[in-house]
This record gives sequence, C-alpha cells and structure tokens, in this order.
Amino acid sequence: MPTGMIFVEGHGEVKAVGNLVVRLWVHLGLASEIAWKSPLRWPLLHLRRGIDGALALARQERPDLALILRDDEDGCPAESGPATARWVREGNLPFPVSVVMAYREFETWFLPSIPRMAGQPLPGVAGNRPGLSADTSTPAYPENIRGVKEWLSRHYSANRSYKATTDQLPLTQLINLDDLVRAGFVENNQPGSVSSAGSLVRGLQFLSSNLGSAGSVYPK
Amino acid sequence: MIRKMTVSNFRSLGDKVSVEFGNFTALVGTNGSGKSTVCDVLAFVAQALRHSLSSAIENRNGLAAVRRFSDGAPYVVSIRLELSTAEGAGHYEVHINASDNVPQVKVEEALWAPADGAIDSTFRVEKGVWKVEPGQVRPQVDKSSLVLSTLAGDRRFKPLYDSLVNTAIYNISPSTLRNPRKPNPSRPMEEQGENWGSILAETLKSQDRTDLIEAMNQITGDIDDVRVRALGGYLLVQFRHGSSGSAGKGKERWFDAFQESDGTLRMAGILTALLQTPVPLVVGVEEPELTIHPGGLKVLTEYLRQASLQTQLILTTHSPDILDHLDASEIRVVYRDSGATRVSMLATDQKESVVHRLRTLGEVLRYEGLRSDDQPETFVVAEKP
Repeated sequence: MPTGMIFVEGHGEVKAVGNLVVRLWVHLGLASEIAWKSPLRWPLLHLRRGIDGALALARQERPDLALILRDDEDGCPAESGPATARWVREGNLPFPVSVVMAYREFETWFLPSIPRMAGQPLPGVAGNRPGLSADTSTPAYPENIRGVKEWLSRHYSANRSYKATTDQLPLTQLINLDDLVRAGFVENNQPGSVSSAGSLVRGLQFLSSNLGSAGSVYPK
Repeated sequence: MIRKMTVSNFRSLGDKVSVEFGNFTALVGTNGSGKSTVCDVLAFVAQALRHSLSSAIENRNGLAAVRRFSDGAPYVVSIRLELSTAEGAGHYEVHINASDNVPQVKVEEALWAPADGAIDSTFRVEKGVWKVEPGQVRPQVDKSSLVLSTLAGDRRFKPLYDSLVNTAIYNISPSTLRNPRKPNPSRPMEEQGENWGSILAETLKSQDRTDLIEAMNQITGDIDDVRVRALGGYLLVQFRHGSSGSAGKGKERWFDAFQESDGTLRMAGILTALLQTPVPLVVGVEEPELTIHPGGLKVLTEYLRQASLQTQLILTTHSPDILDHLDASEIRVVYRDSGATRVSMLATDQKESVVHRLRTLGEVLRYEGLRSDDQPETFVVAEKP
C-alpha cells in the first residue's frame, strides 16, 4: 500500500489534520488506499529553511506522496503557496508533493460546519465538555476572520476558551465534508466562502493523480 | 486589574522600576534576574494589607532583605500600584523606611475613583500624620501600620482594598502535593499547594472536572480520572491510569499522589489553582514549565490563557516552549543593570523579527536571549594580545 507523509506547523494540528485528510481522501473517492503516517509537526514551514528541513526528512523516509500543510495567517495564499511550491520543486523529490495553505488557519475549515458543531458537547476521557454555544452560526465571510481560535472562544460559554490541544480533534471530527468541499469552490457563479478548502481538495486530487510521478509539485 | 507598578528598592528592584501589565503578562529573564521579585511586590502588598506590614516583612527575613542592598545610606522602599476594575480606578502607594531598624511607613497614599460617578476618595499619611484626610471617618494612624487595612470595611476604599489583597502567587511544589493533608477549604488555594486536596475535591465536583482530567490526559497520555479520598482525617489524591485503553479496559488502576511523577503533580496543582472558584483577581504562576514535559506546555499555556478570561494572569518563565505560544506584546524582559533589576518591553528589533515570523520568541530566547530597548547595546571589542 502506498504511504503518505503529512507535515504541519501548528502545535495542536497533528491528530486533527490526520483525521481530516484521511476522511477527505475517502470522501473524494481518490484512487488508491493510502497508509498515512502520523503527521509530523515541523517548525517554520513558511521559511525556506523550514521547508528544506522537512524535504530532507521526507527524502530519508521515502513515502509515496507528501502533503505540506500550514497556516497562512495574514499572508496571501495565491503568492505564498506557489512560492513555497517553488522551494519544494527545487528539492526534486522522487514522489509527488502538495503544498496547501490554510487561510487563515486550520480552524477556518471549521466554519462551514458551525451549524453542525453548535451546541455539541466535546467528548473526552472524563466525559463530555461544553463546546460551542448552541446559538453559534457560520459567519458570512469566514476567511475575513483574523484569529478564528479567538472567534471560537467568543462563542464558548463564559470563562471558557477554545483550546487547540483538547478541542481541535473533536471539532474536526464534526466537520461536514460536503459543506467544506462546497465552501471551497465556485457554485452558481459565486466564489466559495473558504477558498483554501478548495486548495486542500485540489492538493489531495493532485497527489492521487500523480502517484508515482517523481518531482511533481502542487500548485504548479 | 493591576495596570501598572512602579517600584523602587524592593529586594533587587532598582530605582523607579516601572512594569505595565495586561490580562496576560509573562516576565522573562535569566536566573536571578528578579522575575519572582516583581511578583513578590504584589504578594507583599497583599500580605501587608491582609495581615500586617511587620508580618509581610518578617516573612521575607526582615527589612534588610526587603530593601535593596546599599553600600551607603539605606534605601527607602517605595511601591505604587495603579489599577482599574469594573467598579472604578485608583492607585495605592506606600514608602517604607526604618528607624532603629524598625520598619516605618514614611508615606501611604490611596485614591479610588468609583465608576458610578460618585466622588473620589483619597487619603495621604506621612510619618504617622494625616496630610490628606479621608473624610469624617478618620482612624488613628501610627508609623508602623497601614491605614488602608483599617479602612478595609469602609465602602469608599473597599474596592481598592479588595483588589489589592485578592492576589495569589503560586510556586507549586510537587513534594508539598505528594503528602496527604488535613482538609483545609480556605481560599484561595495556598501558594505552594498546601491545601491542594481540599480545593481539588471542590473542582472535581464542578463542571471544570472534565477540563482538568482532559488536560491531565493530554499531558500524561493515560490518566483518565482523578479523585480525592478522605482517609483517617487526611485527604488522599489518587489518579486512575490507563483504564480507557484496550489493555486496561474495565480495570480500576488507581495510584496515590505520592506514587506520581513531579511533573504530573505539578501540572495537577497548577490546573487546580487556575480552575478554583472563585479564582483570585490576580494569579501569578512561577515558572510553570518546571518538571513538565515540553510537549505538555502547549496544553498548560492554553489553560493559563483560559484562566486569564477571569483573572489577571502573570507568569514568570524562561521556557522557549512556553514563549512560542505567547504574543511578543505580552512579554516583559527582566534583567540586571548595575546589580539592580530592571523591567522593560521586548526590544523592537527582536519583536519585529517575531512579528514577521523570521523566528519564534522561543528561538530568540534560546539563541540570543531576550533584550529590551533600554539595555545598552554590546559591541565586539578587538582586544590587543
């Protein structure tokens, strides 16, 4: 079975990204079953030295494909995605690599599924914890929100805050993939509200269709 | 909330050291720089008002240890705290010197301006003599006591007094937590965690129970329950390990606190301090990273940040792992200059490099050390052989 590596930058994202990527790969009906290795947290993926380090490790591990996923915060994904892909291309890896920017952060991908998450308790080892208030609704322009973690905290009950280490995975499990994919693409001539979700979908589709193709990198 | 502290000559603090605080403030500096001393100013004022000036000084081994070392004439210790709450804003200032080695209050001044538009209340005492009287209620003053303690029940000064005394600076010690203790429900939790078991028992009855256990699970990987049992007049804290995993399914494997690691206990102690109800208005946590696995510090920082929604959180740290989760604006650099502690904002060039994501705060600390704009720049000097 082909193996896949995932590099992430954020601290809380290892388990959550793994959950989202595996589910989305199946949801999109992509070719080949992939044995995804547990995502690796890698620092400074927005810098050349961070990418070079990740590529060196990937070359050593020799997976069949790799996904580099990072938060783009206040950057411009249309610029930073291709720029990062250029560094990756120069690495000339013997397997396909996709570079995907979450704009502005991983939690932005929660926002299309807020109606499904609102009022849902977050399961944990000692029972359920309160999560988002039941009256929380999807903001009109999700990618305009700077600081989605803080936005989520504001929709928790008083004196509680969103904590990536404990809450990110249960909320990721509640992402409705149909809603996420729809939010990533133009529909009825209207651009999707979470364009970076479209980038994630295209990045996974690219890996699937370029399996076995050395040196291929998304975005082109 | 304490907005600003201006201190002279308290322990290692130099002349007119000024510190501005936010809801979440991290004091960062090398060993012996004076981070804990900054927190101790708040604890000193709280103890002096709650108990007495003399006991606050004696707890710190006497006035000679409280005031900065001097080769010449002894220094006067002066402390000014500016604060604001939903009820109003004001300040409290006290200057302490000594006569025949007996601590004396040289100046004490307070001002409280209520938010509801009522008139301001103020007083000033110099060397035991009223200079500005607080109105008709005018308690007797002497040189060795603090007037604000006497006026604690006076509704005009009560918000100021309550804001100043409702402070807890935690320096949690695993060895203190390890031993069973007699019940002591007094609040806030004591500063080394002496009455941890009693406070933890209350937390476990509240809706914060799941939060506390979830964090312990994140840190250790297999703690899935915590309980407090009363045995022979003592409280014994126990942790359940691994019963949710496939190997431990259905088994009740409880371990007593004295069998747990320092890091597990310290994390449990800090979480109990943060989740206690009511939480003090100001909570300080001394070096929360001690004995805790670096991978767990993100969890701890998230709980510190959650606590800052309810309280003013001040921490001392020199952990790059904690710094990586903080904002540069939350950092106060603590350093020594000519033997005295100074405190300042992070140097502009270091802040800019972090804001532009060229490096993280943790990297700045690890490879360069944090600097402030006030610190003199150092240059390489080519010395002759």
